[in-house]
Amino acid sequence: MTSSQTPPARAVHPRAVLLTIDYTPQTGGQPLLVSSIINSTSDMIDWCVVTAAPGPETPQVVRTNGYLGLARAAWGLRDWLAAADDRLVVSGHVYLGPLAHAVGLATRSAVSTLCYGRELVPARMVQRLALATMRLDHRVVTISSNSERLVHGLGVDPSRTEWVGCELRPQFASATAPRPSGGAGLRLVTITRLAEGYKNLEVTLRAVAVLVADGTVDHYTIVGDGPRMEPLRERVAQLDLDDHVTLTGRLDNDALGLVLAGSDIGLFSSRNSQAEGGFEGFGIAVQELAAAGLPVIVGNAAGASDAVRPDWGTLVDPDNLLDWVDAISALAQDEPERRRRSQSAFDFGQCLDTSITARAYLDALRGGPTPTPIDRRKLMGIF
Amino acid sequence: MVWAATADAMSPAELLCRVASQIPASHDVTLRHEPWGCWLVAASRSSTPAQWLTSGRWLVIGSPTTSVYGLPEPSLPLAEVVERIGRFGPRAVTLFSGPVAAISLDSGEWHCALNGLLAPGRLPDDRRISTLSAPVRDLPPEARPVDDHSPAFSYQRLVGEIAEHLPELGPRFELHDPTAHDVVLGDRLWSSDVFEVAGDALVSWPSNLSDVLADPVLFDRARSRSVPELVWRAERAGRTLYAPFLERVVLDQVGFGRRRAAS
Repeated sequence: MTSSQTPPARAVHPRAVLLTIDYTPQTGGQPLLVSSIINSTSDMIDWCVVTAAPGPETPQVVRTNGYLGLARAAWGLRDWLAAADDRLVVSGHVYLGPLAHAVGLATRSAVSTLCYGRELVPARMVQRLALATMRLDHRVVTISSNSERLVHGLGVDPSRTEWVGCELRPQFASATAPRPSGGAGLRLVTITRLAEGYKNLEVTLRAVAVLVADGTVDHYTIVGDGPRMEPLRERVAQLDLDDHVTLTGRLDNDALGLVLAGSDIGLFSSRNSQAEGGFEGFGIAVQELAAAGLPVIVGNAAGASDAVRPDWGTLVDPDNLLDWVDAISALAQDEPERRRRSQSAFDFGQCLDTSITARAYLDALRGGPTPTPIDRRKLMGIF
Repeated sequence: MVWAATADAMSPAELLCRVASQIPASHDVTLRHEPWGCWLVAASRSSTPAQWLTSGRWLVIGSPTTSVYGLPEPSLPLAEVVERIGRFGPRAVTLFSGPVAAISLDSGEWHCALNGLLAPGRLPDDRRISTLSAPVRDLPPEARPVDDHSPAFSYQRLVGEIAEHLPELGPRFELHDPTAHDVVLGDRLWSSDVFEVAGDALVSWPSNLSDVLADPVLFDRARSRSVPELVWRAERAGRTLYAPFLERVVLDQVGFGRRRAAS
């Protein structure tokens, strides 16, 4: 290269394109995690988000519709991305892997994927094919050890995978802990989306039905909204629990904080449902409950197990009704232990730092040295 | 291997006369008078552990297990059921899997596991008598599936989920009764789809299970008539029948495919 052929000025800051289906202002774990990564690492890397999620458009966030819309928008970012020496394409959903790799090939960028859980169990052939591109990834980052095991089962080299717990600081105001005992029966609480059966609320409702009879439990509040609200109301009536169970629907952070401050124990009952191919990727709500100073009883299934710490969490077989009753009853009978766990949970919550977690995700997605196109060809078996 | 009956406002001798023909010859009979009527338990002499127990004001019968899918092992002593009833009241029976029921000796009221394997029914010709050999059983209302919707739910996969927990099935043990109608549900003879497992235990494992689970009418018939009939036939053959597809973990999912997705 001669001096007359001076290359164009290169961007100094690293750049990354994130392709994602879910993004704020959508609610739920995935949009929360992805937006936290973007917001908390913008001093380390220049991001451009391409998403199918509706919401306000900004210079940093391109919103579009459908797979073709995502493809067009991502393709249009080729020059912006290629202007940086250090560049990355992140597939924020495994089914966007083929598109991420097309952009990666065009810009000679590393491609990494962020995985959650349920999408790793494909229902259709086209999903199975999309998952196959993960074998070409620079890094595959999962939110739990369970999801990482699933990724390994899909043939991804374990040396290219890493799991980082999806530990985010809740946005509601935490109560102080330990909370005083009200003297009456326990007040239980669950935070969950009311959309999927694997959330397994039937088991906790049945446990409550048994435990209100002797006064162990006074009230159970289920915070969350979704299409299963009506069937769950029917279940509550069937179990004759109308006076003991409240389905609040979705609450804002202030109202949620008040509900949690008035509760004694958190319950998180998600199971691994083969019938739905559904399970918990991580269980952010487990740590939200803990951060409010609540001991939490958690179904020992899929990613939820990774969210628990033994000093405040109790793992039970999510399908075993007897185990749920025994675990709640044990905490009811041992108030000093309940208070100790409450304090540990609160302390844990005080240590949660979204920016640290977000940076850990970025580090994991960037990983080691960026692979060259030759590496990519080797991965595909082309020599 | 236990059979029981209660009768409101009836003497023990009268109850015995009405049901004597139904009691297997190999069974010992225990009969007691109570202020509200009487109760009768008949159990095989060879049953170990004992399959009925009176404690305080409760009569508990059956072979409860700690298996979520109601499989024979690991079994649970009846005393454990009594202890939970003492702590939490009669609804505690719903905590257990396998064939188990409790009868209040204060009122004659039955409380049975959600599977309904030992749910009583009234004799058609004498409504005062509740027995385990009635043609139609009174299932616990809280066991009724609730119509619901869950994304990606499939009845075939639900059957696969149950199958994953089954022990290795032994040979078929056909529960035909030449004096009674065949137990047919859908296009299958359910009395043929019974298999031996450990010890004296039998497991009902119908090959058209996913079709029956998906059909509210057929499933209701399975719960209230077909499976209880098989339990009764197994009882007379000196066996205990288990039906994993009627346990709570399945009952609570059966409704997921019965409601259309919310638009």
